[in-house]
Amino acid sequence: MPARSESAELDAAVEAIVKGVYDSGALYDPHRWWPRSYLPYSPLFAADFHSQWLDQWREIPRQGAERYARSTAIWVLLAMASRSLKTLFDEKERMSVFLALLDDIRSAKAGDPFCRDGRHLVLMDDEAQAIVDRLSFADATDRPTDRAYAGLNATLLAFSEAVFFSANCTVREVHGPYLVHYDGEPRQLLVRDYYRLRDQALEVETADVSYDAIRTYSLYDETVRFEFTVLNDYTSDQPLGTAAVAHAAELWRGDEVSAAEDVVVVGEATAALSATIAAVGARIADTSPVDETVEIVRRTYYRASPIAEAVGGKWEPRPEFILDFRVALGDFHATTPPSMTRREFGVMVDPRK
Amino acid sequence: MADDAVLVCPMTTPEWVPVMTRAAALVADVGGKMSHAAIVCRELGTPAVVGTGDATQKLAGVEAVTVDGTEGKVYAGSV
Repeated sequence: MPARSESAELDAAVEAIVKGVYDSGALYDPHRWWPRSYLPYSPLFAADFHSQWLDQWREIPRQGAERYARSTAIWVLLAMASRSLKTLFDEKERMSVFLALLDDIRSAKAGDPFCRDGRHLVLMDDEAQAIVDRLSFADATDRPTDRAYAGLNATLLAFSEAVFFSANCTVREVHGPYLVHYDGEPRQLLVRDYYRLRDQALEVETADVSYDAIRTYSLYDETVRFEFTVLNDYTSDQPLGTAAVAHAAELWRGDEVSAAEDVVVVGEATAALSATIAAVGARIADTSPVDETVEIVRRTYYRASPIAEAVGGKWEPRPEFILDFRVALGDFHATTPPSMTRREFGVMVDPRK
Repeated sequence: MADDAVLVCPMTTPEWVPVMTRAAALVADVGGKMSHAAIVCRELGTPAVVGTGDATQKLAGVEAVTVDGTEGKVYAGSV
């Protein structure tokens, strides 16, 4: 039986997963992922995926998760793996894996690892303040400027969805709100961090995108209520785009970073991303449902590629597994995700039960 | 596309974003709280009602609609 503090830690972790996956509606929205939800197909590949992933993860020296992945990516893996852990290990071993993952998450975050205060923090507030002090922000009360930055943020979200399909969470980290001051007023800073934008591992059509990473910064009035969960999705009672006070963005090409301080630069970045989105969409439209599903599985494996890179390995489904998967797919009739209560979901992801 | 145009569609995918950025509001037949249409519209600050089931049929030929994204309601005509 876990020690009391350890038990409280596990309670908090399970509640965080339930909040992020079940309460958010992510689990039951069949249209959550583009081009199709991988959830109905997950029984066909989950065991293979998680056993391979855990084998590689165990080889990584435990020196801090920031070395190989962002906290959201680890949370996604933990939420996905919690069910498979029960089929792969006995209670003692799955508890050790679960707790080790929580340690990784804790070391990758600056704030509460379970976002119990509604904040998802990977920076300290003073680090965020230094960013605000360093950058020139554009006035969000100027309608065209606000729309330009909102368009860039929406396009980055769509880009990550288009290029990485259901693995999009591994290339974005939306974090905050950081409590800062701007022009002498208390503000909240949200950071939308999109990285690995030109990653060629999936042979995607990113040739027209010259940015390796784009990070946007938006300042909000202190009254806007954010509610981040561990899985990096957040809700607000107010439409975010129109509630912002000021925006800024930084564009990375290799180690070179440039600030996007006007709508022309923001528009150019948005257009380049949009062209890639259209190219990927056109290719998917010409792909058979079976090939599309196989590709989704391949990209689901891609979630764990930073872990493989950390140990000098390569993360991809085994060719023989893809063959087996194609065969199994022929007899498998995809359904919507199974219905379950909040409590049932909590039991499913709890490593103690 | 007019500045005050409301986008009424079966569902959205990433390819729709350039159009979504120009729409004053969005109504979709299909989608949920975490669907592409919902999360992109939230990012844009665009009012949206998704998962209506048959908006494209009911609003076919309707020249003006009013979208209440907070209450999740769509009205024919200007309210």
